[in-house]
Amino acid sequence: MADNQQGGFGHDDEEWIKAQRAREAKRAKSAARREDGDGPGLNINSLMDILVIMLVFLLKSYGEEPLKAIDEDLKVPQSASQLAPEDATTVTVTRTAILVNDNLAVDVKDGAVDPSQKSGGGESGMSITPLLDELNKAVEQKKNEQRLLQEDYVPEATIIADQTTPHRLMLEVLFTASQAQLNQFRFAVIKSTFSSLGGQPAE
Amino acid sequence: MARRKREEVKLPQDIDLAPMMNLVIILIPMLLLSVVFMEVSVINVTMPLGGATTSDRTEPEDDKQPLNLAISMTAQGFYITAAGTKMQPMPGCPTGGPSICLEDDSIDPAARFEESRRLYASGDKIRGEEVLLEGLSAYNYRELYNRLSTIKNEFPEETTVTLTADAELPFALTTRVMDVVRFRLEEDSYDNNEDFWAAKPRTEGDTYSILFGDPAFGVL
Repeated sequence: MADNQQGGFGHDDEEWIKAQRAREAKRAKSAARREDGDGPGLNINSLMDILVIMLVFLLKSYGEEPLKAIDEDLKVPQSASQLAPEDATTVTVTRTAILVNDNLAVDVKDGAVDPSQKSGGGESGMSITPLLDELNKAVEQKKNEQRLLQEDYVPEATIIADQTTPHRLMLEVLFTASQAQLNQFRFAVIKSTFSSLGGQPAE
Repeated sequence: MARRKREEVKLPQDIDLAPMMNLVIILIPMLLLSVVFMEVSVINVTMPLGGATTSDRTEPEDDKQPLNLAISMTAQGFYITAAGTKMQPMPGCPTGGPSICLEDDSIDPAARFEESRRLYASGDKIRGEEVLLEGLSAYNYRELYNRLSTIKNEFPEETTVTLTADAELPFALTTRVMDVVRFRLEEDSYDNNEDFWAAKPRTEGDTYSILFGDPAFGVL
């Protein structure tokens, strides 16, 4: 005993070893219980893998959306056109407002702009003054960007218009845009098939 | 001291995934809701600077009279103007009326479009869209295609068409007409709507054969 104490483990050591063994036994017991008691435990890793992949996929598609085609007061028409949208100045014509690159230009009421906002002839005027101001700003900004990137400036705009927009308002918007030196337009549409336009189910 | 240290040694433990799971599970429904499973495409349109009515097409070199094809959309149907003359109404349409009258006389497109706007304004988007599509379905797109196809055979080089419309007609009608006039289909002429809408575009090599592929906006 005395030898033991002198040469080997002390009392504290023994206590510690005992405690350690007890812990190990407990751990082994609980592991065994996990294995055969509750059957194979739910493996959360594979679930996590799925969720993380979904998250990445959704985040990617979230960031890719170049144009907002559906909103509270906006739904663009369907078309069989297959051309991909490109980055350009956008003019959004919703049922309640006209926006240039997401900046509010002018309000729309009952499919028309207030005649006082139009230059030249009130009701029959074609040019919408606040829209022209916003467009000039946007065009100037775009020109500067292109100059910095050393690319040629193309006078183009993407028009995102609600499907119920009256033709008259569309003309006013296009006319105003042409006064801001824009003459190539792209109408944003929801990609669809030709057959679905005629009321036939899409293939 | 050494013993104390030994006591602190911990066996490797799994990372606590619960907070991460919470985050991911909240993020996924949020993103799913915001994702729009619709692809957006575009239609190219030109409008000459200053908003003039003519297209930027160069004059043909030969003596052939320029076509200056124009389609005017009204609540009664389509008026087609080619080479300066208004096209006569098709058989079965009232004389003095549009070149292509409505296919379904029982539908009054102007009233439907007005009704649709009213429904949209009152917040009933689903019904609003239904009424809008009903209004659009009154037009005879098949006959429009047949007529344009005949014109194209006479003027194979022409690709521009000027579109005008009554003030109140919706943008959806304009895009629908653009879809019909843009590409040639397999046949030059169709007798019934089912075949017409089921038709595939005609191809020339790798590209689609163009009917009148450069729509320009004009002022009525």
